Amino acid sequence: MRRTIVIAVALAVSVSACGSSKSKGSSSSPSSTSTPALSGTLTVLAAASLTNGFTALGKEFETANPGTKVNFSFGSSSDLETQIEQGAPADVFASADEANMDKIVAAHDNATAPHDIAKNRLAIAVEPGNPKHIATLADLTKPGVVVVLCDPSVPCGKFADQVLANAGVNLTPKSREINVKATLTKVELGEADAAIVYVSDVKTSGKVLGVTIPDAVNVVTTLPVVALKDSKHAALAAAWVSFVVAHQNELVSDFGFLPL
Amino acid sequence: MSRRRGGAGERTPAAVAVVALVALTIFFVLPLAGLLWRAPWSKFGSVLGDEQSRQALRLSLVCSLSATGLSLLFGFPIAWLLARTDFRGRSVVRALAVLPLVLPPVVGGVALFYAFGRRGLIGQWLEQAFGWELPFTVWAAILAETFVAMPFFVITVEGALRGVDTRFEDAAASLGAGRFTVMRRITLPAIGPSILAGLALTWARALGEFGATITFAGNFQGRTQTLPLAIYLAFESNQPAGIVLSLVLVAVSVVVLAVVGSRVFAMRDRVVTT
Amino acid sequence: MTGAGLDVRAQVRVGTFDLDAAIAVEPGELLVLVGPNGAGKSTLLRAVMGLRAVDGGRITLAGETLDDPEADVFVPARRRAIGAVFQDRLLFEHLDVVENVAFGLRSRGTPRRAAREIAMQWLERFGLTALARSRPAQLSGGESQRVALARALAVEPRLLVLDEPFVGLDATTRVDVRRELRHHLAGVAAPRVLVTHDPIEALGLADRIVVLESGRVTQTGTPAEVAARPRSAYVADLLGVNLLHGTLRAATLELDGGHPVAVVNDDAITGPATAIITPRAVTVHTVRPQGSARNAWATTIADLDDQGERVRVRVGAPVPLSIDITPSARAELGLVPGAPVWISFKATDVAIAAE
Repeated sequence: MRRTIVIAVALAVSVSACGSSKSKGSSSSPSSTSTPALSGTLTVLAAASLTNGFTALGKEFETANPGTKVNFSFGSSSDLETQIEQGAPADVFASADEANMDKIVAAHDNATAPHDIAKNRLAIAVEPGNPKHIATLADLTKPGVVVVLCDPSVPCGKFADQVLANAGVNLTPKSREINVKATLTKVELGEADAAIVYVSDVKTSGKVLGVTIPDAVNVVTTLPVVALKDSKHAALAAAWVSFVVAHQNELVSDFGFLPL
Repeated sequence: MSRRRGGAGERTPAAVAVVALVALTIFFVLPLAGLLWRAPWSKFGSVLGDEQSRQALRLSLVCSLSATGLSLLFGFPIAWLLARTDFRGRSVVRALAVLPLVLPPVVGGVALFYAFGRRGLIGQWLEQAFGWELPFTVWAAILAETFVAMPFFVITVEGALRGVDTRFEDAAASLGAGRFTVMRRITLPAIGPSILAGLALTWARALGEFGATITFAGNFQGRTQTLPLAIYLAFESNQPAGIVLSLVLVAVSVVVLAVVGSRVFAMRDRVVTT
Repeated sequence: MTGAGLDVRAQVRVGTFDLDAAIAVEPGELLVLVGPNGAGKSTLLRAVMGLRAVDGGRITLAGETLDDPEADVFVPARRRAIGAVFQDRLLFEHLDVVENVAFGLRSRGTPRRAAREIAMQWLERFGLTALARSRPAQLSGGESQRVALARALAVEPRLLVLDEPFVGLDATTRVDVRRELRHHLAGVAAPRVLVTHDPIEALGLADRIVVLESGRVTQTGTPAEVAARPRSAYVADLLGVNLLHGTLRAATLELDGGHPVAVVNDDAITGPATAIITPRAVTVHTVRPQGSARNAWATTIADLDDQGERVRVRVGAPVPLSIDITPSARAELGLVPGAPVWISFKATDVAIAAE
C-alpha cells in the first residue's frame, strides 16, 4: 500500500514538472504585469513576397530584444502550409493569402486568431525601359512576348488567373513557376519579357519596372500572420506577431505593400 | 538446404549482413513503406486518368529517354577520350565532365540560363541566327536532364574502358581490323554490360531530375512539366495526387532498373566464367 | 637477304630497358627467338608486328618498309599482313570459332558469307569442323591453339609470329600440340618467328635460333651450332650443358676460379677460351677413381633432380657441374645431397673454343 502511494506521488510530481516545462520559452518570473525578458530562437515561415520586409523587421526585432534570434523560411504559402500540417517545427506563419491561413485555422494549428498585417495587389513586372511596350494586360498576348506566371497551386498564380479572367484576357504563359520569386527572377534575368507578380515584389526588386493593373480588374489580397499552437516559444512568437502588427507601416512605406 | 552450404553467403561476416539489412530498411524500405501506407488507393484511378498526370508521365519518359540517348551519344566519346588518350589538361576535362555531379541542380539550371538563355553566351547567338529560343521548351528540359545525368554515364564507361584487356584489341589490329572495327567488334562487346549499367544509372538520374529542369525549362503542363515537377506541385495543393504520382514514378523506375539490372549481372557473370 | 623475308634492326626504349637487336628471316625459314624473361622478346615482337614503333633502326618485310623512323615511315599493325598466335591465344570470347577464324578476312573487307566459307575450309584443314559453332570458352588448350593458328593463317600473312604458343598447356597436351604445330608450320611458306623459353621447342622446331638476353642478341645459329657452342651461361643452362670459362695454356684450361682442367688442344689455342662438357660425359664415384680420365676431383653433391629416365646431379665447389646418371646408379651409390663424391671426365670429352 505504501509503495503504491509513493509511486503515485512520484508520477504526480513528474507530470506536473512536464506540464510546467512546456512554457519554458517564457521567463522564470510568474508575474503577468511586467514584460518578461525575451530570449530564444524563433522560426518564422513566411510567404516569399515577405522576404525583404520580414528580414528587415527581423533584424529590428533582434536589436530591440537582445538575446533573441529570428530564423526565416520563405516559400510559397501553400508549400509552407503543407509543411505546418505535416508537423514542421515552426513558431509563426505568415501567408500571402487568406485561403492558406484558413486551412491552418481549420486544422486548429493556430495559437490565437490571425492578425492582418498588410495588403497586396498584383502588377505586371517588365524589364527596365519596357522594351516590349507593355501597357495593359492585353499587351501580354502580343506575339513575341514571353510571359511567365506563378503556378495555379500557389496564391499569386491563382490571383493572376483571376485578374486575367476579370480583364477578359486569354493568355498562355511560357511557364508557371513554383513561387513568386522564381517568377520574378525570370524577368530579372531577361528570360521573360513580363510576369504578373505582387506590387511589393516589383518595389523591392529594383531590377524590374512595374506596370499598373487597373483596380477594376485587380485582386487585392490580405496577408495575415499568426503564432502557431505547437510552438515551443509561445511568448516569443506572440511578441513577434505584435511587433509585426505594430510595424506594419514599414511594410507599406519601404517594401511596397498596401495599407490595410 | 545443403545446396547452399559453403557458398558466398557463408563467407559474409555477420556484422556486414546486419548493417546491410539495417541500412536497407532505414534508407529504402521505410520511406517506400511510408508512401505505400499513406497512399490513397481509392484515388488511384482518378489520378492516373487525369490528363495532367498522364502528360507529366509521358513527358518524363520522353525527356529522360532523350537525355539518356544524348548522354550516350556525347558521353561515350568523352569517356573514350578520358580513358584512352593522354593529353595535357586531361584532368581538367575530367573535372568538367564530372562537374554537374557536385553542382546543386538549381545552380546547374542557372548556369544553363547563362549559357543558353535568351541573353546567354550561346543563346543570344542562337536566337539571332536561327530564331531558336531554348528556355521554356521541351528541349530545355531535355538539356537540363542531360546536363545532370551525363556524368554518370561518362564515369561508368570510362571505368569500364580502363579495365578492358587491350591485348585483344592488339590481336584484332594484327588481323587487319581498323580502329573503328576494333572498337565496334571487340571493345564495345567487352564493355557491353557496363554501358548498359551506365545507361540505366543515367536514365534514373534524368527521370528524377527537378532543380535544373524547373529553373531552366520552367513549368508548363504538357511541355516542361515532368513528373517530379507535377509531384511537387501536387503536394502544394492536393496531397493525394502527389503520393499517387510518386508511387507511379517509383514503380516505373523499379521495374526498368530491375529488368536492366538482372540483364547486366547475367551478362557480367557470363563474361566472368568464360 | 632476299626481298621476300623479314629484316629487322630495332632499337627500342621502354622505360629503363633498351633493346638493340637485329634479326632476319628468310621465306620458308622458322626462326626461334629464345631468351630469359625480360630479355626483350615481347618488345621485339611488338615492334615487328607494328604494335609499337621503333626508336631507331628499320623493319622491312617482303621488300616493304614497315618502320623507318629516319624516313618517317610507319605502317600500322592492321596493314602489315602479319599473322600472330599469341600467348594465351586471345581468341575473341564473344564470337564462335568460325567467326574468330573469319575475323581477319572480314576486317580486310571480305564479305561475311565468303569469309565464313574460307574460314570453314581452314577449320577442315585443322580438323576443327565439329567445333565451328563452339565458343572459345568451351575449347580445350590444344583445340584453342589450333583455332588461333587457323585464325592467323586465314589472312595469308607474309609473316607468321608465334609468341610462346605452348605456355599454359599441360605436359601431355604440349607434346601433342608441339607435334601438330610442327606439322602445320611445315606447310606454311611465309617466314615464321617463334618465341619460346623452352629449349626442347627451340632445338626441335628451329631452322635457326636467335638468343636474346637483356636487349641484345648474344648468339645466332642453327640448333646444332648453338648446342655445340653455347656462348652464354643462359644458353648453356638452356641446353643443359656445362659451360666453363678460363685461360688456355697448352693442354690445360685454367678456369677463372683457378682450378685446372685437362683438355686436348689440337689447334694450339692460347688465351681466353670456353670449355663444354656434356652432362653425360661426367662420372660420379664414391671413392677416388682409378683410370685414364685426366680430370678428377673431390666435390659434394648440391642436389639431385629426378627426370624420369635419368637423374640430373649437380655438384658444387670447386667446379659446379651438371651430371646425368641413371636412376639405378643413383640408388646403387646411395647419392644424397651433401654427400661427398669424386667426379671424373676425360680430357678428350672437353670441347674447347677460343673466346
